[in-house]
Amino acid sequence: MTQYVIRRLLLAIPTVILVIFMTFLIVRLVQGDIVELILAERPYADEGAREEIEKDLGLDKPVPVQFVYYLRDVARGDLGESYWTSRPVTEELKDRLPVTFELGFYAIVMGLIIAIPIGILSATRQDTLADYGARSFAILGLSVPYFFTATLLIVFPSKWFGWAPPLTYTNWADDPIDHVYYFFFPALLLAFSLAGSVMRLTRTMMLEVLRQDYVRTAWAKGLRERSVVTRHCLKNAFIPVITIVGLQVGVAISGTIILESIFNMPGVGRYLVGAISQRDYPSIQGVVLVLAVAVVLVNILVDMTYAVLDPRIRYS
Amino acid sequence: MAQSQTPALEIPFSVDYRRRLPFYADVLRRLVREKPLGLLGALLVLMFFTMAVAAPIIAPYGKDEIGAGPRLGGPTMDNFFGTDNLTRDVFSRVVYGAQVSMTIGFLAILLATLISVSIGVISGYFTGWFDMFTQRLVDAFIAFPGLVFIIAVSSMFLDYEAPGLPTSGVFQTQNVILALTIGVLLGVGSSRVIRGATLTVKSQTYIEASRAIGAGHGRIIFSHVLPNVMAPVITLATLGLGTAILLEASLSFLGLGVTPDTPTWGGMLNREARTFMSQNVWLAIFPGAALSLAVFGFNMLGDALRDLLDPRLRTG
Amino acid sequence: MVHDESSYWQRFDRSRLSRRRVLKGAGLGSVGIATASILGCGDDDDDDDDDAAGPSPTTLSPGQGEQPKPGGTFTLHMGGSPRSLDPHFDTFPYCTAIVNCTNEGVLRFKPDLSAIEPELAQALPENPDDLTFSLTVKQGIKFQDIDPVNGRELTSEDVKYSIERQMTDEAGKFQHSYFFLGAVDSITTPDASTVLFKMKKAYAPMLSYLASPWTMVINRETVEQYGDLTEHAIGTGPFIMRNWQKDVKFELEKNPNYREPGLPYVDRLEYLIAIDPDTTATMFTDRQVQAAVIGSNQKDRVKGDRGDANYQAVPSQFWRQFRMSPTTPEAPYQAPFDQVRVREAIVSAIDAQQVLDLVYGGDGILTNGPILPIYEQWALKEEVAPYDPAKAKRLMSEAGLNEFTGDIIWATSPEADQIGEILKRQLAEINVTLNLTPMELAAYYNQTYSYKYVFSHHVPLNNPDPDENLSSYFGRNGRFFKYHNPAVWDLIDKQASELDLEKRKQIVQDVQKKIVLDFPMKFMFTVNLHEFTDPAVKGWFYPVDLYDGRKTTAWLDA
Repeated sequence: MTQYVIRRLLLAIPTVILVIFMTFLIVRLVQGDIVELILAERPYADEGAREEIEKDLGLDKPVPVQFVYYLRDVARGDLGESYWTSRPVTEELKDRLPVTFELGFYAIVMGLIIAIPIGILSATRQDTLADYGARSFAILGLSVPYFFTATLLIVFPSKWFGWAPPLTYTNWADDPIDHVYYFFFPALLLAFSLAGSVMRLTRTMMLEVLRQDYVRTAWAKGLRERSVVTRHCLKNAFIPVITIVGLQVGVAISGTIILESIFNMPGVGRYLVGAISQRDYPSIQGVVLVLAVAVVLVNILVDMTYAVLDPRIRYS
Repeated sequence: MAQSQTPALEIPFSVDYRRRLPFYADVLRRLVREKPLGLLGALLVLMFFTMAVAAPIIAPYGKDEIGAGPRLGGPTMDNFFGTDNLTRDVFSRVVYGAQVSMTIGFLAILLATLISVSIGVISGYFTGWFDMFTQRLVDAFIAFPGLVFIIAVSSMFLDYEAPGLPTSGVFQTQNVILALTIGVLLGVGSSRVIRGATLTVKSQTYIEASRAIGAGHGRIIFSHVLPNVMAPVITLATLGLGTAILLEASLSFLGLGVTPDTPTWGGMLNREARTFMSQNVWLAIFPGAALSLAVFGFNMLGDALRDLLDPRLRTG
Repeated sequence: MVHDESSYWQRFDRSRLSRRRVLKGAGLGSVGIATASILGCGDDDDDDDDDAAGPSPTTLSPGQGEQPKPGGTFTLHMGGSPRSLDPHFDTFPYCTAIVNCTNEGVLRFKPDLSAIEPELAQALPENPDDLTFSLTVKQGIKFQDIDPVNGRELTSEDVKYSIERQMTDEAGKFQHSYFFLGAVDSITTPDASTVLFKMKKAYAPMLSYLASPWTMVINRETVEQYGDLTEHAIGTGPFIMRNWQKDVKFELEKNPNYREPGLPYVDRLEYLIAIDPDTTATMFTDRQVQAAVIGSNQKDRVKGDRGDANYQAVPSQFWRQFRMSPTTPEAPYQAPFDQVRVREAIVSAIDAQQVLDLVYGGDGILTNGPILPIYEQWALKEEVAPYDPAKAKRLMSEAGLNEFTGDIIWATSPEADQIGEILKRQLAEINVTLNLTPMELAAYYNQTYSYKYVFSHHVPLNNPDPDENLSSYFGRNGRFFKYHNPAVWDLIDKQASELDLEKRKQIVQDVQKKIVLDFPMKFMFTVNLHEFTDPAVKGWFYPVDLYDGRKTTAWLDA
C-alpha cells in the first residue's frame, strides 16, 4: 500500500511540471500583453519605455530562462507578484481559494445527494416510468446550462416574489448560517449539472452488480429487495462511483468560473477571468497551477480511497 | 423483478467485427422497441438536425433581418417566439442557431473522436514508456482549466484567415478554430475511456492468438482492436456532442464564442436574453429551451446506445 | 494677457455654473454653502427643462431643507474591484470612489461638474500673471489619525509632494502625468500654507486638473512606509478605510477629526462589489444596497420594483466612437481612406440614432464631436456630419469605390457585439463589408494601441476639461489615438494656452469642427446611466461616473 501511494505521488510530479510548463507556454502565446496595457496608459512613453517595463517584469530574458526562474520560485512556494496589483500572487489567492473549493465541495456533495438515490431507483426499477422520470430529471439537470438558470434565479424571483438569493459573501466567522446560505444557491445549480453524470454511473454500476451471482443468490434466499440493495449491492456499486468524484472536480472548478461572476463570489474563478483579461501572467499561472494541483491531488486521493475500499485492486 | 431485465443486458463485450452490420441494425430495432427515452432523444436529435439543414426553408425571416416585428415583442402568429431588441425574429434565429450548434458540435466531435481513438488505442495497445508519457500529458491536460486553453488558442488565431474558408458565417475561420479547440479538449479527456477499452480488448486471448500466428501490430489494431472499441467510441461521440454544444454556449455566454453575426443559442442568451429578459422573458425561454433540448436529446440517445452497445462502459 | 479685476478662473467658473439646482439646504456643509455663495450667480443659460434624462449631469438633492440625522451605515454598490487605491495611479471609477471618501484635493468639481470649488485650498488659486498660480491651503487641517501619519497637520509641502509625485513618466506609474509634466516648471512653498506654481506656458486646463480626482492630496509617510498606495488610502477625507475584503466589500468609518465639525453624518460607509448588471439590479431591488448605478437595460425592472427610490438618468462619460485607422506622419491614411470623401461616405452612412434606438431603446444622447454634450459650453454646437445615406452612396461612386471589406475590432460585451451587428448592416448599404472581430479586452487593447486596424468601435472617456478630450486623442502627443493633422495640433495647443474663456471656447468649437470635417471617425453617442438611491438616503445623490461625490453630507432617515 505504502508503495502504491509513493508510486502514485511520484507519478503526479511530472504531471504537475507539465501543467506548469503548459501554462507558462500558453499564456505567452496569447495575443495582447501587460506591457501594452501599461503603455496604453502612458502619454509620453518613448521607445525605451517598453524595454524598461519588460525589465521590471522580468520579461526581457529568454523564455526558457524565465521558466527555470519560475520553477525555482514555485519550489520555494513563491508564485510571483501580480503584474496588475503588484501584490504577491499567494496573497491574492489566500482568501479566494477557500471560496472556490468550498463551492466545489458543496456542489459535489449536493450532486451526490441528488444523483445516487436517482441512480439506484433507476437501476432497480429499470425501464419503468419511475426510471424514465428520474433519469430525465437528472439528464435535464445536465442539459440546462447553469449560467442560464443562474441568471433566471437572479432576475425573476426578485421580480415576481420580491425574494432574491443572497449576493454578498459573508465570512464563516461572522455568521456561519449566512455563510452556508450564501453558498447554497450557486452550489445547488452546479450540483444539478454534476448530478447527471453521477446518476448515470451509479445506474450502470448498480445494473452490473444486480446481475452478479451473489445478488442472484441473495434473491434466491428470498431476501427482501431493500436488504438486497442496501446490503449486497450498494457497497460494491458505490466504489466506482467514487472515481467519478475525481473527474467531477475539474468540471466543478470550471463551473465556478461562471457562477462566481454571477453570484458575486470572491473566488479564484472570477479572479482568473480578470487576470486573463489583464494578461497578468503570474496570476494566471498561479491560479492554473493551484487548480491543477488540486485536481491532481483529489484524483490521487480518490484512487487511494478506491484502493482501500476495493481489495481486488492490485497495487501495481 | 430486477432480474427479469438482466438478460437484455448480457451482450458480449467483444463483438465479432464481421457481423457488425446486422448487429447495428439490431441495435436500432431495440432502440425503438426497448428504449423510449433513447428514442425520444433520437427524435430530438433528428429534429434539430433537420432544423439545421433546412434552416433557410423553415425560418420565416432572415437570421439577422432587422424589422421582422416590433422591438421586444412577445410571441405572435407573425413571430412565433417574439422579437428581440434589434427587432429580429427570435424563431428564425433559434432555427439558424441549430445550424451553428450542430456544425460546431459535429466538427468538434469529429476531431475529438480522432484524437481520443488515436491516443487511447495507441497508448493502450503499446503500453510501456510511450503509454507512461502520454498518460502524464493527458493527466496534465485534464487538470488544466479548459477556459484558459480556449482563450489562448482563439486569441492566437484572432487575425488568421484560413485559405478556403469564408470570411463570415458559420464556417468562418474563427468558428472552425473554436470547434476544433473544443474537439481537442473533449478528445484528450475521453481518450482515457478508449485506452481502458483497448486494454480490455488487448488482454483477450484472440489477440494473443493473432500475435502468435504472426499478425503485425497494424493489422491487429485495425482488424481487432478498432472494431471492438467502436461501441464506446460511438457512445462517447453521442454524449460528447451534447457536451460540445453546451461548451460552445458557455463560451458564447462569456463572450468568447462564435462571431456575433452568426446567431447561436448561447450568443442569444448572452446578448439579447441577458440584457432584456426582464422586459421580454421569451428572449431567454426559447433559446434556452432549444439549447437544453438539444443537449438532452444527445444525452438520452447516448445513454440508450451505451445500454445497447456496451452496458459496462463507465462514462460519467 | 493679465486680467486686472476678476481673475480668469473666477469668470470661468461663473459661466460654467449653469445648472438649475444650486445645492443648498441643511444637507450641505459650510464649504458647500460658502462655495454656493461664491459661485451661485446665475441660471443664465439654463435652457433645458427639468427632465432627468436631459443632456447635462444634474444632481438631485433628496432631503433638502430637512434636519440631518447623524448615524447609521450607508451601503452602496460598486461595479468592480480597484486595482490600487493610489489616486494618481489607478484612474478607474472604483479606486476613485474610495479615494473620494478618504482623501481630498486642493480643488474639486461640484458634483454636477458645473463648477470648480476649493476643497483643501482656501479659495480658487490666484494667477497674478499667466505663468504663476498661487494657492493657499486652509489652516489646521489634519490627516486621519492612523499610522503612519497619525493626525499630522496638512501643509503646503503635502500639496507640492502630491503634485510633484505625478510629474514623472516612470514606467507604469501615473497615467495622467501629462496634466502637469509638460506645463509646470516648478512648485515652491514659501510658507506652510502657500503653494506657488511656476508655469512653462500659459495653461488653461490647470484648474480642472487640480480639481481632478486623479490629483488628490496624499502624504509622503504612507508612500514611504508601504512603498506604494496599493492598499492604503489615508488622507484628510471624511471617512477612514477600515477593511477591504477583496472582491467583496469596502468598509469605511467616520473620521472623528474631520475638518468640518459634525460631519460626516453617517457612521459607516459600505461598498459592496458586484460586476454582473443583473446581480447589481437585484441587489438594489432586494434592498441589499441603498445606492446603485443601473445599466440602461436593467433600469425598467428596477423602476418597476422600487417605485419609491430616488432616480435620475445621467449620460455616461464613457461614450462610443466608430474609428477608422489612426494616422501618423510615417503612416498616413491608406487607400481608399486617403480620399476624404471615402471617409465622409462611411461617416455619413452610419445612423447613430438607429444604433442607440435598437440597442439601448434610445436611452442616451448623440454627440456632434469629440466633446460630449454633457459639457454644454465646450461641446460642438452644430451637427456638421449628419447621417445622410444618399450622400454616402454618391460619395462612394464619386470616389470610384464599388466595394470595400475590412475588419472591425472591439472589446466584446453583449451591447458592443450588437452595435457591431448594426454597424455591419448600415455600412452594407454602401457596399462596405465589416468583418466582425470582437475580442476579449486585453487582446483588443493590444490591437487598438498598436494602431494597426481598419475599423474599431472604441469606448473612450470624456472629461470636463476640453484639453483632456482633444490633446490626448487628436493632439501632437496623442496617446489614446494617433491623428496626424498639424493644423489641428496647433489649434489644440492654442486652446490650452488661451486664458480668455470666450476665445478659448471659440477655438475649441473651431478645432472640433475641423476634426469632424476631416472624418477620422464617427462620433456616435453616449448612453445614460441610471442612478438609484433608497428614499432613506438624504443629503447626497450620485454625481457623474468618475466624480463619485463626497458622502460627507449624506445622512440616513431611518
